[in-house]
Amino acid sequence: MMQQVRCAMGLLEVRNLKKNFGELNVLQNINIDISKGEVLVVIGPSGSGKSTLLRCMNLLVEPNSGTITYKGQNILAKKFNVPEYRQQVGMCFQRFNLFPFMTVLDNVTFAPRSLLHQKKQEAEEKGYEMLRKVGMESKASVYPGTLSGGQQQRVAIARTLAMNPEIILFDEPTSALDPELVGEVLNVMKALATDGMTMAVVTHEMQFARDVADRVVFMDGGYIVEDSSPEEMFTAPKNERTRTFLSRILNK
Amino acid sequence: MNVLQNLNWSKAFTELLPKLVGNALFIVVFATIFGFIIGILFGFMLAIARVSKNKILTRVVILFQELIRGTPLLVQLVYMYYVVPLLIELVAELLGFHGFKLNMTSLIAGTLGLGINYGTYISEVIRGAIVAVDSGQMEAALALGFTPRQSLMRVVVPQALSSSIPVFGNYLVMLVKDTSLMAYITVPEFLLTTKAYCTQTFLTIESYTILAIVYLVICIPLGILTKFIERRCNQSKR
Repeated sequence: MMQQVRCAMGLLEVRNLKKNFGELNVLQNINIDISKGEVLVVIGPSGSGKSTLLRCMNLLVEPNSGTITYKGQNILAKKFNVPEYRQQVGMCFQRFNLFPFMTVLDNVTFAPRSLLHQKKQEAEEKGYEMLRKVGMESKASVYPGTLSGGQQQRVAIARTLAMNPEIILFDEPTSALDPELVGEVLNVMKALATDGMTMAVVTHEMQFARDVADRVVFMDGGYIVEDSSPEEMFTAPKNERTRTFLSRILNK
Repeated sequence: MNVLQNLNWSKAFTELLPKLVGNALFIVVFATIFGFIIGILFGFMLAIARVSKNKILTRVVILFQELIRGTPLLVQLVYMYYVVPLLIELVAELLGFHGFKLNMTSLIAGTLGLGINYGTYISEVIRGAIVAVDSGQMEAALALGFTPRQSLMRVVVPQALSSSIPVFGNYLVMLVKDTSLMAYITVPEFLLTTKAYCTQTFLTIESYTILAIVYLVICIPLGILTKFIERRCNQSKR
């Protein structure tokens, strides 16, 4: 019974989160929960604070006020071990950010070997397994610079998976890709969602949001304007601003 | 006309060249290699200190860099040889080590002085390269769970160093030439050896021409090697 209550409380809870860069209020009073196994998609116009919210979740950006709770621990507490927390919270970036001086396999095994102290063989076996998951096993020994954007992003996902994270944050993972490469990355993400991975995804891919999301959040001007199921969001949005945004983006 | 008739190249070559290629060459190679190693290590430490979040440390480093960049290398060498040992003895005296004598040979002082001077300039090269590494690299390492220090040392610094290697080559060639400044603090390198020979024999044109050629013979291949390494480095980036 207790277990169920904890689950319902959510893996990650964001309360009254505020962030401003100087005069600019990027996040204003954000409240959001992510429960285990949930796929949360965040949509909204550029400059609405989506990426900043995601970056606050793994503390790449430090919020000005509010609380973020992970498994019941306040991650903004002074004594909180941030690097250890980040080991459990993966992140994929818009520009992939693979390490260019390492091979694909080394990119994937670097963190598990250094941080989880896995032996070389163990890490490489696991690395190959992750690369197989994203369909990049055949490129294990090449350098990232020789890969296409879509391939690089898949390797970046494998690199994140190798740390065995509890949740993965995706910061516009397909925005820097050529249109014909978007599909391969989205397919990998869909497979992850099916596997039960907890994910928070900032994206402009509405079809992905509709197909994969358990919940869709629409942000504008630093506020969460609407937080609902994908069906409701895309068929009967309650808010006027949501309707304007969706009609503009879906009819383009 | 008279001067040209009196030229005695064969004498100058057979007498001066062995001196240069012998002891003087050893000294130049010693000062270059150790000066360069000190320069890179020292430069690396200064660069890391410059990019650290510690404001006081950063300020101290900037002050030191300004001191070095605002004074001539020749003055620094003189200072290193004649003044620094006295200062150290003074400090030792104040700390209660009475009668402490520091014997720093001119070669050691010169090599240290060159190393510190070059380290200061190299530190700016490394710092620039660290700053130039895409900030996404740091973020990716942090997001994987590396600490800020680990992210800097294991992800950012390797990329910064590999992009500064070609520039290091240029500094190496410059360092070979700047070892000549050590003549002023009595290090018997190429210039001082040549000067001594010249005053004995009055073969002025021959002596200094040979000196110049010796520098060229060392520096031109070194320059070509640097260009080669530079090209290799740029290729591997692609």
